[in-house]
Amino acid sequence: MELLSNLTLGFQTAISPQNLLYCFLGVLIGTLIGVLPGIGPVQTIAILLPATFALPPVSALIMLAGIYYGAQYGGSTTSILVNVPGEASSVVTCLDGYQMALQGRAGAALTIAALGSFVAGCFATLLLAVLAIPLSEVAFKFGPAEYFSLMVFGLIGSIVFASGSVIKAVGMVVLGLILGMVGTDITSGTHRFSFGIPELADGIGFVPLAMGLFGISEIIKSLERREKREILKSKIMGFWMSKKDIRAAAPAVARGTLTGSLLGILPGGGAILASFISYILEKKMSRDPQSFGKGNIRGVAAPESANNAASQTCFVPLLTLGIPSNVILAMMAGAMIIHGIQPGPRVISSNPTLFWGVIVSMWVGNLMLVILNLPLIGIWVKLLSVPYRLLYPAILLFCCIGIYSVNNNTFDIGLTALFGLLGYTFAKLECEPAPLILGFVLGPMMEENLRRGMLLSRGDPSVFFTRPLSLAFLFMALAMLIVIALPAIRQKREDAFHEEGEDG
Amino acid sequence: MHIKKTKDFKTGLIFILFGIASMVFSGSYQIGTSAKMGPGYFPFVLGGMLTGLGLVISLRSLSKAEGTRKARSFRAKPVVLVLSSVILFGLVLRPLGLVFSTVILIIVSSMASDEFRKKEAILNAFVLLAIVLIIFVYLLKFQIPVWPSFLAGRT
Amino acid sequence: MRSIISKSVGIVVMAVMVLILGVALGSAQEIKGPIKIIVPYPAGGGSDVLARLIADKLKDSLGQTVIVENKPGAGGRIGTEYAKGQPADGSSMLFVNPALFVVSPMVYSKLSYDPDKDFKPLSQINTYEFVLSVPASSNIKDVKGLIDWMKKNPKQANYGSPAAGSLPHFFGLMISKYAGVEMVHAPYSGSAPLVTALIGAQIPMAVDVFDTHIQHHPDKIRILATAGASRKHPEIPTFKELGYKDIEGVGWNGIVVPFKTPKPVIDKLNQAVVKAIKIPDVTQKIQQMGSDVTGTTAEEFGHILKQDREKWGPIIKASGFKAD
Repeated sequence: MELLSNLTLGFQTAISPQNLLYCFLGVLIGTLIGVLPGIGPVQTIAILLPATFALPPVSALIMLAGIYYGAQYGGSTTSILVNVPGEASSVVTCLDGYQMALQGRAGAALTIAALGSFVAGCFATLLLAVLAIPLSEVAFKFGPAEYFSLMVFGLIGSIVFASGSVIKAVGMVVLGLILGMVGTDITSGTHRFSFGIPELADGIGFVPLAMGLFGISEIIKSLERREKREILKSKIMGFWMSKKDIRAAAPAVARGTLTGSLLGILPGGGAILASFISYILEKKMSRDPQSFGKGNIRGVAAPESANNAASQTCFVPLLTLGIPSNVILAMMAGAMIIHGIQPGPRVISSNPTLFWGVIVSMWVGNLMLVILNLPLIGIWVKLLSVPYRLLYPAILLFCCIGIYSVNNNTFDIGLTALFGLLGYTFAKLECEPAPLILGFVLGPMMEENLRRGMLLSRGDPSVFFTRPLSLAFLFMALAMLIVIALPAIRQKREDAFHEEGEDG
Repeated sequence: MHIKKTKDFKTGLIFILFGIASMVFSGSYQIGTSAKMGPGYFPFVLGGMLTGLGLVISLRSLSKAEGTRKARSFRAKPVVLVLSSVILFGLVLRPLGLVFSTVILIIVSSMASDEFRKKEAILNAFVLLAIVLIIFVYLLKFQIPVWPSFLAGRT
Repeated sequence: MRSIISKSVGIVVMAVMVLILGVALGSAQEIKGPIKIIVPYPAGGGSDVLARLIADKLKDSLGQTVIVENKPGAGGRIGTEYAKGQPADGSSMLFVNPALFVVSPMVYSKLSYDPDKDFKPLSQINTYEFVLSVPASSNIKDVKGLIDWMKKNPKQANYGSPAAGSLPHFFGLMISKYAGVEMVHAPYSGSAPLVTALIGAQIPMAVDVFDTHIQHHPDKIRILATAGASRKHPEIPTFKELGYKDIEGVGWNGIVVPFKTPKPVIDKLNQAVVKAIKIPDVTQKIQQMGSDVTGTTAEEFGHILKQDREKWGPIIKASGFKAD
């Protein structure tokens, strides 16, 4: 029962008054910045990092981790209420969450987002405690071939996001892939499509793209409707979920949790990928796929659970091996170094209080988050009764500040306006932005791994078919393609198309 | 009539535009071979795909005449004012600081609404300014210029 | 009378002169705060952590507020360009590394700054050595074994590096040239994915910096050799002692100031910076990051820059690598 004694040690560390306080502070800040559109954990942790240098290392890490997964909780709020993703990984939540809000079910959507996140958080924490070390091996099995095939699977799956024309969705994916090419090419170091603008050398930022395509274009669309947003006000009712909701959402939470836990371990992808893929799977497995994108509670439950699970399991490689799987975790590794702890495989044995304390604090933090968030739901829903003419300038302001603070540059703000225009144009043309975003996220990874795979095999494409895991992903992709290509299903999708979008 | 048609037609045109642009610019980068792909390889192929998709969408829209629905009327005011408020914020932030740029953003963007009321917008600007200053400048200590650079000395 | 006047005039003149001189000297010595260290990378990264460690101690010795300002973007080039336009009165310093001051000038046809014309060296802070590693599961035990294996399997002679155009990339080419085998370079997007790929044996070997690999040596990664002048780890040989005399590769961090910063100010800052990094607590933390504290004079740092360009120049040119 080594695990039990480890967990006891973890508990002792995590529930010391000081650590409880920092944990609470972390999740509170996380929720706050998660709710504010455009402001994510990346900027916040970067800015608060120096302040944590004065804390003991365990407290510092507990707080930083709290900000990170707290942001995943809060991120869904504005997605659901005003169709503006508060956080990169809650882009998918907009699709069904906002529709639910329009139907007056904002309360139910927020509740399932919080509860789903909680369940996912608990499960992922347990997974982290029991299986952290074997799980860390998963990432080693992923070579370029496996990554590439996984990306192919994700991209084909992205067509599922289309509630309208499939061919337009494919076009949007390809356009997203192209936008993802902007910036310094990893393999050659060449600057592509940057037109001599130094700010574009790092590529187009995810935040300006997502805020432009979703946030700004949504605001313009809303303002264009002449009538006031009375629908919302009159229909706000039932903060809680119905029994039917619970029955529909529970399995989706379970599936989202599993998908998220697994994808979180892979470097690079993390929470964003997890939320997209879990939505794809959920819609694909559903008997009633047309109801997705129109306020299906499962379309909120699955991605919200997935992104929270992923935001916990992505700590696996950092805590077990010292390998940070994304920018935020790299900053936490920096925090460890400042405190004189070299992140690496030896942390578990040399610093058991840190390792187990952080893990247990995640569970404690999740508990705090659900307690913190459930009462807040009432307040968030009330926010909808704030006149829109006062609300949208605030959203714009937070977006702009958030975007500026990612890189401290104003160029990105202009870029956001540009994407706002593009998003608005696409909305007019009935092209959905979600496939574009997924293409944008997956594109660079796909290209990088394709080229690396071909480089390492000296131009022999058979690597993608001979490695079992890679082959399995390609098979899954093929199967999905066949299902999508079936004309019967396409027919359904076009039926679904007719009712979508024209609410103004 | 034929609204959907023109919508699809325009979508196709946009795709073709982006596709061709991607192919043209990729041409200036090294394309390479499939064994050793250059930086131009992937975007060139993608550009070709997008152009192809754009063509199919445009052509199909000409032959099909289904889906006749009313278009949402286009109004320039929200588009222009919302976008320009964001751009103005970006332009003004560095030289004039957060205080002025916030007020400008809120007032210009508020004008986009049909229910715009001057006093209310000004009040909103100052309330939000206070919130923003407390959260980002005082609590989170973001590296962001607050006052005009000529008043604050060095940024 | 006249003499008294002339005397008093003389005294006044002298007093004024002393005053002016004093002010002039004083202003040369006195640095108007707040002093900022510009880090052209995001907060929380390796450079940022190092800069913050130093800034914290500089506060005490200079008696001024010292802040770290992050200006990330374009691999550090945005921040560097920004720094060259900052006041040259000692209130602005820039954190740099070989990528910005050695490699970039050779691989960009248009660079928005000139390391020699826009900046003056202040001090080199630390150095870190490059390593050549294989997965622990590999049969290859030493550098010689690796070269033999590559000669037998030239089609598998691939090496990974943390980034295209990084010094480890060119260091790999140096090895390739020495071994006489054409090694194919597979760049990764940073050390983290590179180490993961190496542990998982997705690539047969990798070139990277010492500290990211030593964590996994010898359980998951086998470091074959380090590239410094002397052993970094008691059990791991250097290329030099193995007989590969010319294979040496060291990266570093350093501080530069805008070109017009006066010499006395540079000297004063140099003393303060060197003093800060020699504080045992700081030195220890820098060593924990797997690097060695140097703390050179401004002249020595200038010399290192020159040497590095002479050393890496031919390799970079021969590689044909162009960033734009």
